[in-house]
Amino acid sequence: MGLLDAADGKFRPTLTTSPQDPQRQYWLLDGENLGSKFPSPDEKQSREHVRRFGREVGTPVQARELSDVTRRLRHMDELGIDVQVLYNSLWLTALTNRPDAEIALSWAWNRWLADVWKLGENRLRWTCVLPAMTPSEAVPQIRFAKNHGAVGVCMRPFERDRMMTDPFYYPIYDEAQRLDLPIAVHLANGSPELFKLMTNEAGGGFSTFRVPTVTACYALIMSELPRAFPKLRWGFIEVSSQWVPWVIHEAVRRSLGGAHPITRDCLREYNIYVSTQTDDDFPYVISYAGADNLLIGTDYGHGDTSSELNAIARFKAMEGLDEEVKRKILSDNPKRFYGI
Amino acid sequence: MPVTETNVIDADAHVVETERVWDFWTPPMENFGRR
Repeated sequence: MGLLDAADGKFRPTLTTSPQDPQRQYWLLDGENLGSKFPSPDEKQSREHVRRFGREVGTPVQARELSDVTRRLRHMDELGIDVQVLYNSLWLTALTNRPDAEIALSWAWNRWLADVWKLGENRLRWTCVLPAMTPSEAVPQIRFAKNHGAVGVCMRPFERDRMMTDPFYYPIYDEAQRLDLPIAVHLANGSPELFKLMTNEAGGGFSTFRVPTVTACYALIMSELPRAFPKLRWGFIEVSSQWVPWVIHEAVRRSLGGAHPITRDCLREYNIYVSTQTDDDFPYVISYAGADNLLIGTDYGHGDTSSELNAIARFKAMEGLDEEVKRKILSDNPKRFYGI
Repeated sequence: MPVTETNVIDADAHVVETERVWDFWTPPMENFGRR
């Protein structure tokens, strides 16, 4: 499967191993560090993860890197998963400073996933990545993705000096709404400046990734976007859902007496969906979010705070949660959100 | 399909990029002349 346009060969990244840590590899393009090759856990690290956190994270390398699509499907069978919605690993931080390189590399990634979808018996759906520095060039990539199995458009909460609510991105939202594709705001941080500011030893990924993503959801609720794009669906993925009551409470309180008061039912009113973790306080979250706007995922392929390979099985077996609510979160809601 | 009684959707799964993503792309025949 070859995916980078031949004319764009000058943008082909190379993988380099860190001289300080042979376990770390980085993508380089003309000396620019595009980000690390995602450090998925090996067998030893997976065992340690289970011991410390009680969550399985180990995946076969052929499955997570999709060199063997059939292996991935068989693993999904073992996990009781019919359909996975695939997200990138490399675009979770800003990729490159060069708009032309961003366009070329986004095309390559989206073509790769289009090929995966063709091999995946329609069980491997995906969200496209975008050249966010050039929204006009994002539009044809969104159209391509829609025609090749994509079920969402991946946006980062912050892109350099802009938040995702900025009108700069309205061409993307306009096209997504027209094509009935949701905007999937996966945990990410596309602003190197904000990332640097939020980086500290104690805060870790909570500061650098989760807080900016939750902030973007609050900004979306308070912005004109739900009225400007009333049919567009929005999802906040891999940030758990425990923060939802806090954000809704703040939005209701701060919008009182304003031109557009926010109600406690705003997730449903504004087509906003949030993915959960098995250790979320579901009754509390549902008391604010309702049961119709929640999803659940495994974070398959990664091995971090969010990752739980058996999340689906554990959620199905959870006691004290209505079976109808479980069915909504496992099936009805993601079908509606992704348009599957 | 489906493997379970309900159609279970994992709403957040990942792929990990390898060098294959940056291999050269061969456009389908119908696309020649359009790019």
